[in-house]
Amino acid sequence: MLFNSLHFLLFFPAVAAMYFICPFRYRQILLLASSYFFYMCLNVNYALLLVVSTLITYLTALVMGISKYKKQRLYYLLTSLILNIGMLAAFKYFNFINDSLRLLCNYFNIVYTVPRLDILLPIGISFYVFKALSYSIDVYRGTKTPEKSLVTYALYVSFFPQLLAGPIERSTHLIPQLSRLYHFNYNRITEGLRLMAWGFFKKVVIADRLALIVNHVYDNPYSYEGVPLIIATFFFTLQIYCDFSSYSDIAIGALKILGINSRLNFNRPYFSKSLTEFWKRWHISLSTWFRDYLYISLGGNRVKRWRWYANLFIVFLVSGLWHGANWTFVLWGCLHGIYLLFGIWSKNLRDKIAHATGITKLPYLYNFLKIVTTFSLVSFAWIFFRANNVYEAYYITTHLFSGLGEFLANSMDLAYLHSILGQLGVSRNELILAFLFIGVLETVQYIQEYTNITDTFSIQPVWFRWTTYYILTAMILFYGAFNTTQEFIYFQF
Amino acid sequence: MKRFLLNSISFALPFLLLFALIIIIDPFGYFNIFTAIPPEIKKSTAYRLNYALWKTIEYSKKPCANILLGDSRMERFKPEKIKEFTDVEYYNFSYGGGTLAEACKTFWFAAEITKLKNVYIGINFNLYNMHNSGDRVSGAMTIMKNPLLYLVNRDVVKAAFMIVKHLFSGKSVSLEAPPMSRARFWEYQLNVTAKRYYKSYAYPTSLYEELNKISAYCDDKKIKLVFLILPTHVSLQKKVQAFGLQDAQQRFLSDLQGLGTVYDFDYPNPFTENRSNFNDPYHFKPDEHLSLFIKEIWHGVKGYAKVYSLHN
Repeated sequence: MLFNSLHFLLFFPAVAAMYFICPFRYRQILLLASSYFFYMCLNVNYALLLVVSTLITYLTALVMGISKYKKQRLYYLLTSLILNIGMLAAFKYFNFINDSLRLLCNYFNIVYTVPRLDILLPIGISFYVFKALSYSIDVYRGTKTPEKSLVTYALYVSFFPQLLAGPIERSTHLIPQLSRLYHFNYNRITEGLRLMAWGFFKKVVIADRLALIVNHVYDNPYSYEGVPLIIATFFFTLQIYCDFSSYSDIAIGALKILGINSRLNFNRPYFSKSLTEFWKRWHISLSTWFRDYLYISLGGNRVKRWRWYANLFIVFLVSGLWHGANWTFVLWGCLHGIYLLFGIWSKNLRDKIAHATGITKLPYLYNFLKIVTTFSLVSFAWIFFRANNVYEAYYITTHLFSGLGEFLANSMDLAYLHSILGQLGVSRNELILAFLFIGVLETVQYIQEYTNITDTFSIQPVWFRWTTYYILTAMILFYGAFNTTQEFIYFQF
Repeated sequence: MKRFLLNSISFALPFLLLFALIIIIDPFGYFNIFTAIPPEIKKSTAYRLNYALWKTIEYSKKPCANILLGDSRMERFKPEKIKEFTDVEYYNFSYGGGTLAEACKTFWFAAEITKLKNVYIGINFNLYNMHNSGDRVSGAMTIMKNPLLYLVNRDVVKAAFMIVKHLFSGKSVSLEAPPMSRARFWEYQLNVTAKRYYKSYAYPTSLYEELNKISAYCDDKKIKLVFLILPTHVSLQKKVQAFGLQDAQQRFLSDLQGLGTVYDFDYPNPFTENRSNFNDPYHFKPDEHLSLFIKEIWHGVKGYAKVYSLHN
């Protein structure tokens, strides 16, 4: 069931209404049943894996909790990790590794006969497996006591707002909230609805509109060079943000309606002034997951310098692989690793240059340049993320600026401009709308950067709030790109 | 909870009223529940706002086994005129500003709801371009499957308001482009529009594959498939050379010849050399010359067309 589907618009109010009517002791069962129904609407078989992962993690955590010996606890932790990661590897990475080995063997003329597995990647597997892993590690480290109730733990793993694309909520934060009683609260519910509406706006009005152009160009990149590739890449940068952050907004809003607070997953990442800051603002629940369970486990920065660099690089490499079983994602992760390492190595030099040129005396300009540079680097990396394969990514990166001189020379010729923009596969009006809605998004984000827009909005007069609600709803209804409903990009991970 | 429910209903009310208005006016005749608005008023407004949606709805109500696909040039073939000569019913499923991608999608839509017999696709070289791939048909087809999308479609809402305006003012709303002298428009079409088509030409691999599928389907189902390359003025034909696309045009011709019967009118000949035969470089004058083409295409009268048949 997609958030941006009619089914969800019927499903969620029904679940929320039943939740508040239902006696407290049955609420978890109601949410658990709803979550499995939600998941099984996509594919009934997927639920089996979810059950397996839930049972493995639940049982190993329980025995870890009663075990007195550290070695035994480690044994149970490894059992949980191996089985969960093994499941992820089998369903997500087997064909990737197999295909890569086949290519390698073919290159060296070695016979390789292991066949491809004809399996579908269960949607959301990366998200719920990571939730399960963090729970096991937390129980092993003693930061979380094992959950005794199977229903509560199963609900933590499968809770429908977060099941398909996060946020990857920690058990220490979510499980205690699942057991509390929440009453119907008008202010909390309107706040949740506002967040959901903003999420729907970002998804159906912006992301799905931009997707039409991005898909048109990226699905046939060899037919393009120069400006159309630049525009499509710029649009993908915004599309993936709107797509993914909208899912988080809808999920967090839905949870809020049910009384549960979720942590922020996106904090206006394209306003970052450095790559380090970008990763503190983008997909925060995943970045902190990697920090707490991988980076720190590798030794973090409390090791020799070269090991620290290696640790950082490994985290980004794994992050790339987490996003998808394809070399394009590996390259995307490596590129971010290189960005970060280069950023560390060149920091002193960049500071010296900034001081020497006097730009530090103009903080607005200096910050603006930093934001533009970070945005450009992130956008460039997204090429690898979006391209269908490495060859296409190579083509796009090497043809990004082709014909730019000609474009600039002819930029006043309307027929020429029309022929270039006409390559994007949408009408002029659609293109204007796309830029207009990007403007709306950026304005709201700019305001958010300096003020808490939720608090400011809630103290405005009723007429202002209702007018805003009407405009937002009208935009979603009449300007949403419903004709070609797009799945959320992060579902594939 | 009472406050929440009351506010929710008050908030939803204007939208519900708007949807009710759209269902009553029903500018594109999707629901056909109320008949208060005369169909001619609906057509004069809604049709021009979204050709694809209008024709998709109209065709789905009365499917026809013989269809014409293409752009504004093909749209000039009035079904009643063809019936006059052939006594066979046709449905003109062409759209002004249509693309080849739209023609292909329309073909599959028609094939899905009826057993086709004759399909005529109007396709000129300027349409055979990877970058000329606008698509209004997918949207129309999605609406056909989901009535809620009809209620929130911008063209539908706009048409509904225009019809209301028409009913109150008694004046039909003009959707025509601002006037331009014939000579100026001719130059515009030749220098600006042609540049849009030819400046960034790319071979349409995916569209060729789609045409191939259509050809195989027609072959399998014994459907007559004919491609019409309608005449354009020689000044426009020369633009192909000016943009260095002769080889691409040759490939276009050979592609079509491998897919079905082709009637090619678009080459230098006494008809295309005479400017008075055209409204603008792309469009022949239908009132004066349509019969000529119908006779050649449907009656086999020898004239301007170069005919290439798969079975020759």
